[in-house]
Amino acid sequence: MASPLDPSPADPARPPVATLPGQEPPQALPTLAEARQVEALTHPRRRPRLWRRLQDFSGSGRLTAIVLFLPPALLLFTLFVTLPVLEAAYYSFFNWNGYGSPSRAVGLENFARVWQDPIFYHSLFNNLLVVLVSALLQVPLALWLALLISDKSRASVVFRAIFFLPYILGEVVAGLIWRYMYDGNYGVVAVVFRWFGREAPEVLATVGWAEAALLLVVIWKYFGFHMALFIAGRQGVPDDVLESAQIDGASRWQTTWHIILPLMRPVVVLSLFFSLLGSLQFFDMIIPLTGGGPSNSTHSAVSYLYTFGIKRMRVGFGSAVGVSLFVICVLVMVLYKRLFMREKPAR
Amino acid sequence: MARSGVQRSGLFVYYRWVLLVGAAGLCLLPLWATVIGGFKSTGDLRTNAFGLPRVWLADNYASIAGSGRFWQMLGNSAFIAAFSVGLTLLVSSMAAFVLAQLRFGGKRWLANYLALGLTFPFATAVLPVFIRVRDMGLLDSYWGVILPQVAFNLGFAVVLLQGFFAELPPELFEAAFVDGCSYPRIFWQITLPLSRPILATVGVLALVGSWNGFLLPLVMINDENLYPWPLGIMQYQGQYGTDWGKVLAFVSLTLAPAVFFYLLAQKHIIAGLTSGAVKG
Repeated sequence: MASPLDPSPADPARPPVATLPGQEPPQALPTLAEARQVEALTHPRRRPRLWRRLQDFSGSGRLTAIVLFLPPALLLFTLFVTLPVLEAAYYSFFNWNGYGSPSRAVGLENFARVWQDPIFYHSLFNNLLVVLVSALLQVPLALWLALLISDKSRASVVFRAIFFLPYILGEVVAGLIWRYMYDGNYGVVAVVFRWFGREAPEVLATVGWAEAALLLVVIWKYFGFHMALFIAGRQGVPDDVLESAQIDGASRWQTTWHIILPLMRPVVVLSLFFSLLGSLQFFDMIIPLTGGGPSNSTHSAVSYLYTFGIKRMRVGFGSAVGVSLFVICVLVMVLYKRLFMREKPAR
Repeated sequence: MARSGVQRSGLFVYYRWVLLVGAAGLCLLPLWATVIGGFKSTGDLRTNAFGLPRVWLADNYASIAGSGRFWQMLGNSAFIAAFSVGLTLLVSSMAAFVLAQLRFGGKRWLANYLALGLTFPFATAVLPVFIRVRDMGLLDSYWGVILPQVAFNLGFAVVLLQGFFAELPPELFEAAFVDGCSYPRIFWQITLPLSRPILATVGVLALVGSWNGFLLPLVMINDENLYPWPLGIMQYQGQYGTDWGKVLAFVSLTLAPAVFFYLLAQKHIIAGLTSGAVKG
């Protein structure tokens, strides 16, 4: 506010300065923010960042925020994620059909049943097959294609969109579409066989072939996802490295093998990690495609859980499968991280 | 590829194109056969899998698109997905905000607790969740699907959002604070508007997961009228088993919204899903 003591127009941020008439106004006093900045700069150690200090003293909504913002997430998470996992461990020691409360404690019998069941082992084996196929077939294929379409040309963008498309379709749809494709009477496979004058085998009803057929669908559906990851990785390779290699006379093959691929290693490791995680949860595609047959040969761990635990309401047994799956998951992830993901940059 | 000046031999260009077009063809072939198959009679399907129909039959598509059940199914999926995504974004952003911006005792423990959600396979929890949902009376309801979906999304959602929030410049908050803004207001008026990219990423991940979700609705919903499309499609296939024309038409129609949405936004979807994966 203007006053006889302060003839100059007031800057609201700056404190008013008393000026004796006839005298030059002294240098303007610093604003509060400036003062605090100087203070922060000159005493950096003693005073934590302004933001932190304000938090400690100010009460504006801090408690409200914590009380209001955290509980919904914690409640939902605890209720539907952590408690159920603990309950699964608990239920696995009972023989229970889900009604009333669990009463028939059977110790480790459920686990014994699970781990002595050849179908369970075969299901785990199928999970392993999915992982192997991902690692040995899908990743190289995706890598190969990714290297071909990592540029920004219009054509590459179109190809990328095409290859990614199967990934966004639900697994259920993929399962159904390929059930049609493999149908021995009406499917595409049947038609192709007829071109050669033969009748098609019922692929999905033949043990062994059904698994191979399933794996093919997995490749079809997921290679686009890995390809997209690899393209992102490939685009992260700096151009100057490539140019200097070219100047040094490296051939395309040498550049690819010795420079690009090693630089893409983190992305490849990550994509395999997702393969692993995803394959352990593999379920949706199996039900429409084969239902787990023929002769229970195409079950995965989860479809096994569903067919023998959930559908028959054998809660104890199903929980034992679930707990076993959980342990396997944790072991695999820890092992993988330890083996391949050790070089994480320190934050 | 950004290899300026590298001479590409004609052979390489040729090989590249052949390979890419071939791969794209193999990729799209099943989809093409499905869509076109919906227009064929069963006899036509037997002999002519790839080509255009000898006689274009609109019956299959028409009868499905005209049936109330089809739209009901899509509507169920839409309702579930909308609330699943919305709640996920809301709940996880609130929690991530508190975890990223406030200091209080036990914060790190809580952050790690929520991050555990990334490691729990859903299959382990599905039976106990079923029992809990049943005991809460939410069986055969949308919420029996929505709430567990949100809960399982929290793992990656909070991790992604927290990471993003922590990188926002503190000066913004300092300024807001000095101006007397309370935490909730800062959340709504500063943090969220600035976080559109990461919210879009989390949203897309949650949307794709919810829209395509199968095991969870399979276990929770028995009432046909509430079936989301994955259950509806399996039911239809069970009903019309060998009438592949009908089934293919049904599949094609169900795919249409997803493909349409994808074509509109594919750059963002691909970027979102892969960057979400890389960060998570």
